[in-house]
Amino acid sequence: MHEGLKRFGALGIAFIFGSVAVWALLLILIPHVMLIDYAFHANPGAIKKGLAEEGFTFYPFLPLFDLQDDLALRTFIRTLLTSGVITVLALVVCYPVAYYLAKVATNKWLSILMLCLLVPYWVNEVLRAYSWRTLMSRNGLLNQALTGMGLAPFEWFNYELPVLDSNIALFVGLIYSYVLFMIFPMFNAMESLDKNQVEAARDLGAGWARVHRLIVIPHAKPGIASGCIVMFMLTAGSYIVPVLLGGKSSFWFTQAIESQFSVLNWNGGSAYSLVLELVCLIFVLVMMKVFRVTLRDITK
Amino acid sequence: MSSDLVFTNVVKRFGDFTAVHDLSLTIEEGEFFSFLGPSGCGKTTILRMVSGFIDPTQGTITLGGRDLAGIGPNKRPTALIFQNLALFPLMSVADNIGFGLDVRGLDKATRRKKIEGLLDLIALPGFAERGIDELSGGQKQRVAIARALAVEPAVLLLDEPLSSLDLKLRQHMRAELRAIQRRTGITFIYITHDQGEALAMSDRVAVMSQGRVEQIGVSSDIYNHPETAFVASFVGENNLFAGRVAAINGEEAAVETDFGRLAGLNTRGLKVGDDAFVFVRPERLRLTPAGGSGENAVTSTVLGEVFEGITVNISLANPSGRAITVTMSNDGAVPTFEVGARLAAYFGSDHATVLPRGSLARA
Amino acid sequence: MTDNKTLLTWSIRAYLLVFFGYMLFPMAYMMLLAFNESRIPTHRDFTFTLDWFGAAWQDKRMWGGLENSVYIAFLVVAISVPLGLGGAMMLVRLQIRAKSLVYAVLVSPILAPGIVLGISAFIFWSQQLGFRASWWTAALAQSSFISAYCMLIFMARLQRFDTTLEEAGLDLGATPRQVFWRITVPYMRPAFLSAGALAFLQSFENYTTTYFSIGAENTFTIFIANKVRQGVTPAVNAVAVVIIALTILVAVVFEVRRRRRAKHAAEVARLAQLADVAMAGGLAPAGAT
Repeated sequence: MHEGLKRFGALGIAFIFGSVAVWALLLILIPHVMLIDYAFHANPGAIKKGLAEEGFTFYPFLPLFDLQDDLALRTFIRTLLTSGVITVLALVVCYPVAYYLAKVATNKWLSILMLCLLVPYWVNEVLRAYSWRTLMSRNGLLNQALTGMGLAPFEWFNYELPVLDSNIALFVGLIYSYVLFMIFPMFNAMESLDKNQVEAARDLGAGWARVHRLIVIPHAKPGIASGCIVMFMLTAGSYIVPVLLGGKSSFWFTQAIESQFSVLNWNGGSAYSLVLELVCLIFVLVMMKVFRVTLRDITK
Repeated sequence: MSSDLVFTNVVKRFGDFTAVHDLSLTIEEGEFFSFLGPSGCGKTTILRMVSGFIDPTQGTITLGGRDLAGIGPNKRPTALIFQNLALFPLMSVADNIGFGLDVRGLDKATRRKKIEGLLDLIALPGFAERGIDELSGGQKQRVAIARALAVEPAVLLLDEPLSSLDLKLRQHMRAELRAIQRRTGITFIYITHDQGEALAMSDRVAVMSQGRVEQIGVSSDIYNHPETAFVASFVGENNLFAGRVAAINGEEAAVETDFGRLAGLNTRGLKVGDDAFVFVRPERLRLTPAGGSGENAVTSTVLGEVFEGITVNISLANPSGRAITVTMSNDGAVPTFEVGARLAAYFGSDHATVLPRGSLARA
Repeated sequence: MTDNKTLLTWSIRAYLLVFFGYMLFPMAYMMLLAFNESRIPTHRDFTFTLDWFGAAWQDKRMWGGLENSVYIAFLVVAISVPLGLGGAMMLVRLQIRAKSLVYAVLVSPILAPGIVLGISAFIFWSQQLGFRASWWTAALAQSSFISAYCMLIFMARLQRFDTTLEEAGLDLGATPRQVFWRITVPYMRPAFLSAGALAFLQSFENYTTTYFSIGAENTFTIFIANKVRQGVTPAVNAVAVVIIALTILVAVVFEVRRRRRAKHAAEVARLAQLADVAMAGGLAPAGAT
């Protein structure tokens, strides 16, 4: 500490501690404490109606445990399951692409393909979802292609997937919107892999599957973990994509949060937000444990 | 009182680790003084205490009688040349050299004049506007020296600045550094693990080990009359024979070793029964065919011969330690020895030194 | 064996083609529709027109949203860059206890859902402290996670910073403040630029956090989202064309500059090497080996 003072001067140290204090307290911790505080208090409307007590209560969380009117609970479970499936799917889809970009592509192709990825990345998520909305609309290009081939047009927005009571449009749109957040961390992790290791293993007779299992995947582990975490978090926390691409039966948990806010029930909204955040936190911790990576590996 | 640099009982601890033990010594004004030792011996810590980046845990450092405690690194009349030079990569050569003058508020014209003078001194006239990444390793070295000299320090501290250069350039820079020191008359404190560098340039050398000064002296004393086993084995090549003192004869001590009794100068006043090493420099050993039973003779088998150009090194087996090396001058009369031949290496007892084992564990 | 290999190569190529088709086709199709006269976005009866660009240009609410977006983005840059720098300095340069705790707290907004950041900022500033939620509360909500991105950029740069440069500055007599402004800041310049640019773009394109913390106001992104929700006209497609064109332009300019600079640096380093050969060979005392 003393050495730091010598190095940066009193003003420098004051700046460092001051900025971290403002950031951590005003922008992160206190707003969160408030959110938690709201989540554990009933909204004034409910208190007036005598449904809840003033002071500390679990009341705002109750709809999530209501088995009679299970809309909130179903929405919650659907959101998590769909997000999990989408994360795994995105991992499978992206792995070959990331490997190709990191280890196979020549420099010239790499910069072209990177540009191709960066364009949809920098276009915001609203437009990404919108682009699929036109493609999949009733008279959109996809249905025209189907009718052109003599097939019946398809209800992209309402065709429910059997397991998840979700719909195809939302599925495709969510993967499309966040897939790049899966590719980039994996690409970064794989890029630092020494190509000679792969070649040496090939030379010793290892097949491709084994090379990936024993060399590439262990090396890219932090990138894979990081990609999965970000993918899951963005998908589960996505709001505008389900709004634009969701159908009748694919209500998303963020939409449930929004509906609480739209009736000015801050407490209910806070409780749902807290649950969503808790799930994401647990997911991060589980991934860190499973992949044995640190927070620093993930945020690289 | 001139601006001598005086260390009085200086101790530096980092947690439980003591980097410098009770250092007391005086470096005189205008001296070229070197701290020589292996990495981790505490020499860099001393340098950083003098320049003010760290404070001694105990003891005082004074410069010209003024206690340096509490004076920040930017207020001390010392300048440091860093091991990696630490030239500012985004500034030109002139801005690098002029940095210390600029922050002192010197006006542009004065600065310019001074920079030009320094560029002449380091033989790089016309380089003022070059960028740092346009310089070679040797040129960077000179710019770093000029930058440090620009602030007219009372003491110039050098932290192994030559270690990144290749051999030829390093030898060239040694001569140049020595010349600059003579010309400017500034006290130079040089730290290095390279004994050749320290012995060739310095007025005096302090050999350090594990935070302690083992010996201070002029180069020839350090080499010819080491006072500790560490100095004897760290500085230059040395053969060592472990044993126990068996007899004292005036200034000499006879040590009972695996090769029989070997006698050498007893500079440290060892007594009969003390554990001791006998050190003999490879160039002080002479070879004869085995059989002659002279005093101070070591009979052993030839392991091999290495031709080095100016010298030829013959190594002999030593059952209880490192192989014995005999260095012979390549005067055209060095015979070829067969591997496995029995030879005796002998030496005059005034060419050997008997020292206590001390901290040197190796036997 | 060779057949196998060819098959593998071709299937990988086919896969990449499908993948990049999936990534790019919706964008291309979206752009195409901006040029069709039809009142709803479709490619049917394609008749080329630029009218939709004019329609987008004349939309007052878009300009209002754009204005708000720019205010927010500038405020976010002004907050996130210094906060990110302070956090990075603390984590990289100071010896403090509980470093990993501080790190975890500061990067946690990146790993939290954007909706939660928006809501917690709204609850705190608007409900608790009683300020009217508007563009600046949105900027504060965004800053909580954008500062973390900036911090990661600064940390990466600071970790490669040779701290002896600062020591050299101090040693030559500069005050800590002079060292900071003359040595540390110039070194960090590229990081300042990328952190600033990233903060601006992240802020500009952010939807969820902004939507939940801005109250009744609009931004450019919220405007587009509302437009899409209310039933679209190809004016939205026209706006998308402009955004994509700008993105490509900026990316290409950056890439060209980066390459030119790398080439220049390699050339300079090669020339500098020659000087040492001359000095050691020509000036070293004879027989010094």
